[in-house]
Amino acid sequence: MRLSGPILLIILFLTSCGKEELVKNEGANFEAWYPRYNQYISDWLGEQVKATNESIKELEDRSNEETDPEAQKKLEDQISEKQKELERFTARQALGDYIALLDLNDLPEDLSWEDGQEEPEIGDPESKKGGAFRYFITSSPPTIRPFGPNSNNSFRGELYDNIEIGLIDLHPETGAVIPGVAKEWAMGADKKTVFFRLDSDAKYNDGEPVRAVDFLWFVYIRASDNVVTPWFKQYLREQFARVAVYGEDIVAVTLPEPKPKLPYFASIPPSASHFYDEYGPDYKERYQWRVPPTTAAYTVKDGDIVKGVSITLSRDKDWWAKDKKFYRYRFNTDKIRYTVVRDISKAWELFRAGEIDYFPISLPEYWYQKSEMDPVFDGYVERYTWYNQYPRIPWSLYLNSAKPPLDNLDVRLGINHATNWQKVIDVIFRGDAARLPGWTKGFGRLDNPEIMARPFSIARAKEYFEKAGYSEEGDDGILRDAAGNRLEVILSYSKIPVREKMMAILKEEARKAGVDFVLDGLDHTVVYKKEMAKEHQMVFSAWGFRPPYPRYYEYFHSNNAYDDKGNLKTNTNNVFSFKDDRMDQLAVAYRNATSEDELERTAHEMQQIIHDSGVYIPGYMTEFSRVGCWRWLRWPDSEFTEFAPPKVYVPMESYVYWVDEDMKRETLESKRSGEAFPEVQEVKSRYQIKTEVTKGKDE
Amino acid sequence: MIARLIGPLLIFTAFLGSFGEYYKLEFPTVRFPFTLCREIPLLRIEFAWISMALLFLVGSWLTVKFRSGFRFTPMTQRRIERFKSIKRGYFSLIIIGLLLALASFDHLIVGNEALIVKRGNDWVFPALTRQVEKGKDFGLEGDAGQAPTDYRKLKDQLKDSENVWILMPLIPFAPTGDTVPAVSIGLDEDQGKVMKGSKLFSGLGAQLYDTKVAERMHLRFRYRKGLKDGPADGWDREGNRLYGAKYESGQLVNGSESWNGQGELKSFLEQDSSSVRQVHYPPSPPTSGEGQTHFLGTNSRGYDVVAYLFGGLQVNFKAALVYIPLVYALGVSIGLLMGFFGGWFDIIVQRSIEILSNVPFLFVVMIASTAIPGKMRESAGLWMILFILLLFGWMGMTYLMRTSALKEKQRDYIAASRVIGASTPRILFRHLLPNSVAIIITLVPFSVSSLVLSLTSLDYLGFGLPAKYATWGQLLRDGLDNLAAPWLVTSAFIVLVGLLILITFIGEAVREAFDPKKFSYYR
Repeated sequence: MRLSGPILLIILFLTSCGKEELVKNEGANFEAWYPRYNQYISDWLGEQVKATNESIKELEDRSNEETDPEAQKKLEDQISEKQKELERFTARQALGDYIALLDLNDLPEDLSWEDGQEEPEIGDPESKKGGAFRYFITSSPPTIRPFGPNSNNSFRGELYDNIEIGLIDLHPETGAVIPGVAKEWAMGADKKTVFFRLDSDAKYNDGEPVRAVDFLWFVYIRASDNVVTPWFKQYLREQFARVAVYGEDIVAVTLPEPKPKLPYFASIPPSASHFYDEYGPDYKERYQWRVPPTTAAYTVKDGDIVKGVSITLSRDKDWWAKDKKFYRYRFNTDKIRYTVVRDISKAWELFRAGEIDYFPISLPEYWYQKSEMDPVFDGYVERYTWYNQYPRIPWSLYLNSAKPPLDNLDVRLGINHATNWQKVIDVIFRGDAARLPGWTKGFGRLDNPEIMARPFSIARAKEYFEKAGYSEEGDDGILRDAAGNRLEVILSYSKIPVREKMMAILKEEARKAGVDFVLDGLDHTVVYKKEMAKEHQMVFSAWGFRPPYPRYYEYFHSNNAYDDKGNLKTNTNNVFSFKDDRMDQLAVAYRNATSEDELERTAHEMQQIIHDSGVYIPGYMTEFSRVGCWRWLRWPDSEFTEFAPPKVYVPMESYVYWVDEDMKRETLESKRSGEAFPEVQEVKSRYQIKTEVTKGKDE
Repeated sequence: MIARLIGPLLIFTAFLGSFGEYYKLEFPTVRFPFTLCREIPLLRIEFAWISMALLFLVGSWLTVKFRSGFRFTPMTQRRIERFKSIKRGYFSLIIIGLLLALASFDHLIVGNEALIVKRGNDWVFPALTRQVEKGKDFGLEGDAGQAPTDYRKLKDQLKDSENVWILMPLIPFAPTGDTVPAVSIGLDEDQGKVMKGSKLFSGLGAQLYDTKVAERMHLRFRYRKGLKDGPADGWDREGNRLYGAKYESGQLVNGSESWNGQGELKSFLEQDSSSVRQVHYPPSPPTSGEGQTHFLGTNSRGYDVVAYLFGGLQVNFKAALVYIPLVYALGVSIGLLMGFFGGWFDIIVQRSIEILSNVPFLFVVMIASTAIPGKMRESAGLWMILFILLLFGWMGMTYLMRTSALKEKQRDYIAASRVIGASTPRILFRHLLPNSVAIIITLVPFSVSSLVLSLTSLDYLGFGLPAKYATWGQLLRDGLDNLAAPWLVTSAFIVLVGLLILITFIGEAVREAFDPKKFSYYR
């Protein structure tokens, strides 16, 4: 009993809430950190070299003992691959320190500087600054730190990734490199280094200038042990070979291997060193709700984060890039307000009432039904269909070729023909979506134009099934093989209503061809786990590809399918358990390609192999985005840009819109008096990828 | 007397089921044990034969027991009389009985297989045969020939031919797995303006190649106040978009036409197609006539709502008929034993009930729904859910039974029978059970309604039955997700509330009939 008093006190003390005061810490110490990190990287490289040498030796021993010529050839392939890996590591060792503070005199002399000024403008010269853009988010972000635990939430894009200006950027229409914080850039002689000369105007939105060393701080605050960021740590260690600063305004980034579009892959944003002066082991708590100054046009002012209610971004009226080419007609509205609306149907009602300016209405349900409403008829709300050239998300069926009966090629091809995506497109998308032709689409010349998805055909499917030995038909209409096994495949997918509908249709149609799709609707994370454990037979999912190039190695190289002992390798993206010698060569060649021609040649051949193997049943894609917006929200219609540049996923993310305040006043007045404008429904098809016959598309 | 009919009915069921299985015929409802054994890999077909034999035995026993001249005990008779005198409950029971009879006709009333196809002198009964008839059996070619026959289409195609006659079930749609892509509603034209009812039409109107295949449009126009206004599109019969144009207040905008088909544009535009109709995709509103007939529309998966409701009713009956006897057998016997034996047995069971009742039911369902392999879940989904419900459902009544057994076992007649030398099972089942079960009987209807409710709510929450079952819960959720389609939520709500009310009325009447203090009531 006597003890209970102090214990209670301790408990009270431990749980006492109230404002947590963070004591002043020792502060950031970049100077002390970076030699340690350089040592760490050099140790790590040493380890890698040692490990690779060892495995080469082991492979060589095995190869000498091996008598089977085929196995020997495979081992030799592996050896040559390991040797390439080794070369990469030794080349990195030769580079010296990972983080280097160098003198301007060390700069190579014969650099040819580019500035990308010949690319076209972005946006509309008619655009006006001012006004507010009002939109919604479905959940309040758990933190606004740009990195660290929980920072990878969906709002980070709106707050940082989409608006921050890095060293350089890709032009959203031509795909060429355009300047950012770097005014000019030059390629090093090794084809792996890019030199960037900083724009002397570049400033953070708190007025401080951007310094070259801030790019080293980008590495520091993410890679130091003060914060848990496994992804960044691996990314910085393995995807970069060196980050160096020459004097006051030159940054050089070296990658481990040459790549097409090297400047893009070498581009990083700066991190304001003056802001992170309290950086330390308590970063996670200390910076939880502090918005770092960025190079973006927008920042969040004090008091503009109302947790659970809204977050408002304000335009920096004095933004450093406001008169620069590529930036002057973008980031137009003074405010961007994101209100938290947890329910989409409620957000729709807010849009109808004019409380939200913009709403994506790509879904047929919205386009054909919900948006056929009075504000549209009266011309207050305008509707646009806008074609883009962004990589199509491959929503498809992924077959695990390691799991019977899918290990049989004929069964896979039969299932390809038994999968009726067209009916899904007709019923769920009302014919608005198109059938995805193959593994990639929307990557321009990297898409193999010869490849077309296999159409639904009961007769063809049955031919293949018969070839695979499934010739007997049971009472239930499902085919059986000689041993009486039913032809059934488990189809896993994450259980959300629209997918349930799609999968029900696929099942219904596959049944007609004599194959039973056993529907396995699971929680999203469970599906993902199952897929990563390679326990699935067939799964409906997709990977979001980003420009400029799709990847093959991680999805199709046999290294990611089987381990040395021939067991399935888990936690890799090769969910097909795909194994093909030619594919392995091509995937490596593609990864090491240094020119676009080489990329194209290898990519086309790989797409053909994927098609022939039948492990991938292409689903559907949409080639456009449809939006509804109140008429005061204006979009570019200039020689440079129609509506929005084509290489963005949704028009909103291009920040080329503006708010016309006069029009807003006029519209609100007319709305009050019941006066109507002509209805506006337009197709913006300047960026449509032309094909001969477009399948049942809208307008 | 209805009781007398039950025995022969069971015998008939057993015979019909066995006969159907032997000759590979699909008789409604009686095929159930066999289909169940085929669906669930763990069950062997012998179980179905055993259950048929059991049905026969029970039927025979009942027939003998209720042979003519049999009378219930005066007590039971009085209770039956009293129940019948409560009209509300009595008629509810009759209605439920009729519904049960209706549901047991299964795919003969609601289904997409034709009952009879008569071609010349050739009679086929596709709905009754177990094997799936292919399109080629009826002279269809290509993919349609390889696929299972679409009888609705077949009937439509052959409606003009003399010697073919097809009889479809009353509702020619299967409850699930029978997607109707789209339906259309006719629009009127009045003085060059398109009207919907008496109002000028604003929306999308289409001319169709075939009114029964509403998703294949010929031309589609946007209408505003009855006039073509806005974009227009045209497709060929395969759904390739060939034509585009723009209209303004009913007039074609000059030079706005685009055409990338073969041949003349004029002949494409003048192709034979229907008058202007409004096309509805799932969920589509109630329609009848030329398009397709769906009395309550379709749900968002494109299933006919009437058929879906029927399927849901069947699932409810099936679940109740399996669950109720099992849960009562379990609960009543455990409760009886607890009360009768007392002591350690009582204490242990009580504690385990306390533990079990503290396990959060919903979590168990959620875990089970992810842990059970997909194949198992699809083939045995309903039984899994019932098993879990059973696991948690038997506890409530044990305490009632326990109390009643504790009370009854002190009575003289128990002591007397023990003195005579009756064995424990005899005392339990001949003396204790009949005298204490009365309080339990009154609970049955309420258990049924709570079962229906829990199935519905589990489905509503998304942890319910796999998609192959039609369930009211899913329809309810569908309706709430699509408030713009009020026919979904209204029909789901009405049938659910209707069934629960009927069952509750019966429950009240039963309680009333078993009430020992007939003429006393609380004020």
